[in-house]
Amino acid sequence: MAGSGTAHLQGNALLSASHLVKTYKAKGGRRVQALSDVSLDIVRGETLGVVGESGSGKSTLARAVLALPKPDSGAVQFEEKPVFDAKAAALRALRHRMQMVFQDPLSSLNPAHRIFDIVEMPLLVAGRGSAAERRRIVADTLQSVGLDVDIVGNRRPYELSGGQCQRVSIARALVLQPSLLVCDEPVSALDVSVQAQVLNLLEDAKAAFSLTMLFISHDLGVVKGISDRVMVMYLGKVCEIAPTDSLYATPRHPYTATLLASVPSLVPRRREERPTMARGETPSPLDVPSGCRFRTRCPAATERCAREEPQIQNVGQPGHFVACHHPLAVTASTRLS
Amino acid sequence: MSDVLLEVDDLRTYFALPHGELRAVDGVSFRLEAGRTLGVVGESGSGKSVLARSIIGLLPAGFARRPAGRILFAGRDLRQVPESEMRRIRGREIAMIFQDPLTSLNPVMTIGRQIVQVLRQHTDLSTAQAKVRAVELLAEVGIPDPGQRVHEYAHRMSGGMRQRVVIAIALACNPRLLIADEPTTALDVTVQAQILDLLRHLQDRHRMAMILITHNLGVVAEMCDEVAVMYAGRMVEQASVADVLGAPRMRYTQALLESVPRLDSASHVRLPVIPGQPPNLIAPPPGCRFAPRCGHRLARCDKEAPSETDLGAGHRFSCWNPVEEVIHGR
Repeated sequence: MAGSGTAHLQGNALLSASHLVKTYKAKGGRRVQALSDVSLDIVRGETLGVVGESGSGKSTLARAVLALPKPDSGAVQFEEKPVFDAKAAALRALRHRMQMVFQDPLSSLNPAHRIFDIVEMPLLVAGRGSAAERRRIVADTLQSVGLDVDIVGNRRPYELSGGQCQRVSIARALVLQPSLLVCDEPVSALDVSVQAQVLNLLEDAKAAFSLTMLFISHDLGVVKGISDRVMVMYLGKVCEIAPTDSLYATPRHPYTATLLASVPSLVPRRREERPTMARGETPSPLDVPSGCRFRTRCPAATERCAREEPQIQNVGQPGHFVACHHPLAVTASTRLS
Repeated sequence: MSDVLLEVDDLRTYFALPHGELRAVDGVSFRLEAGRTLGVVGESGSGKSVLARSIIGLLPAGFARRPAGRILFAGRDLRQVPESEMRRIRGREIAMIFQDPLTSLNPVMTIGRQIVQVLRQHTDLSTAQAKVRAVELLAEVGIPDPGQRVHEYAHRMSGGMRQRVVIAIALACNPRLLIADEPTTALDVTVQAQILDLLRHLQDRHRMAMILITHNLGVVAEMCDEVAVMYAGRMVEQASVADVLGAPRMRYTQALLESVPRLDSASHVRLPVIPGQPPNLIAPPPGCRFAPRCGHRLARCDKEAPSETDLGAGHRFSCWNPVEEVIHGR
């Protein structure tokens, strides 16, 4: 996997990121390339899901498109404006249009602040409305996420459940009526019954606020439910990007196929060893393999994979792009149930 | 011949808190046969981890009352066993692995020394023999180059490798029962698949019974023979894995199964949700504990705790208005 290139970009997008590179410093002068030449775009009204395991760079990607912090190189266009070139005030104005929801609802809310103040804060920062107008907007926004300002407004985050805190986080993100919502593992810390509530809420909010979404998760089932297109990442690179049904029904990258085969299904069966599956674990991002970064675990790897980095290319089906020298054939065996 | 290894009968574990008594586990009964795997599923706060810790006698000192009920392990009530004897049983006959392998391992001791320590504590092996055995154990759990890795510290290993080390320590003395509390929750999905394969392989080889605690119904489907569903401190349904996942009768089990996003379900379909949140276990609802969130609630459910219906073949559930029976084979 581990490909570069921009063949998959659609043009005419609300958000367009190209050639993003982000390197973190590690001990001993070493460097971790968390994001290595990643490009993506999202058209208005679309939900792009990003899946990947630890170290794939998916959270770094979420932050990079918001310039939180700015990556080392690359460019992001949002609503036709360059994000990274924007000066402080202009960047702040852009950020009002692009908001983020984080994984851990409790630690992303200030424990000392009341719920009303937390949701009102973005309005204050943006200098919107009078006190009375702000009070009305906060109440309406809380109502749209299923919370009553009269009940929760004066409470503090630790007095709410995890699911309620995540609703507050979403309300805070929606209160400025952004056009882009970036969600980084928004339901990973929640129990399954509460997770379903929050996922439905995000779908409702998307319709009500005409949102475009970048949705990051390690849970392939969750991503399937909410995304129009899905991008699979591995060690800071894009493996595969395709319309949701196409990706899940006919994964073409060996890593995507491995991921899908690893998810335990709800059908009781004693799973036997999966012969075609990649074994082992993700190598250290401090010492990434040459060529295709997945080759050390890939059952199909050849000598070419070590030498030459695969480029992202279309593989026949519409909108289905893969960075692999040996993409899987579309066969019944790659189809899931 | 029934080969019951563990029989838990009306187990109650309460915690004394400043504002009342919290009923974390409230009247749980089940049996586990040698070599079988029981999955315990439930959401946060359902009491599944407290149940495990009650069995192995590792409840937090101070808050926890001594559990009431019976915990018969190989014919002995573990509640009556003195602590000195319990220390022998833990590790030797019952082992436990936890969710986070990093906090289960000692950060300042090589993993080899940690395994040797367990072997020296529980077996007659000399230190030299235990060192040899430690390398064998690491090889058995699939750690490459075990002769070298035995000298490593936990922080130098990946999450999957650490969990393998924890499993090696747990299995060092060939326990008859392994309690695994969310053993793969902290791991990536491709690593989870490998650890589940390993656990199943080792279980077959050692003929060990297992209690697998998880919130992941997919893990249950792949690993378990029987499943117990916990809600608010009670076991609300128990059956074979095929019955629980394919023909659940209790309304909570059904709702839980429906709210899981699946790989084979369509995109942008509204997920059925369970409204509200679990009850406060200091003052639980008087009737069925799931009643306040249940879409099929009857007047009776609010007043009276449901009695247990036994369908035979190990399928038991507690519900006044159960899901209609599914005809098998449909």
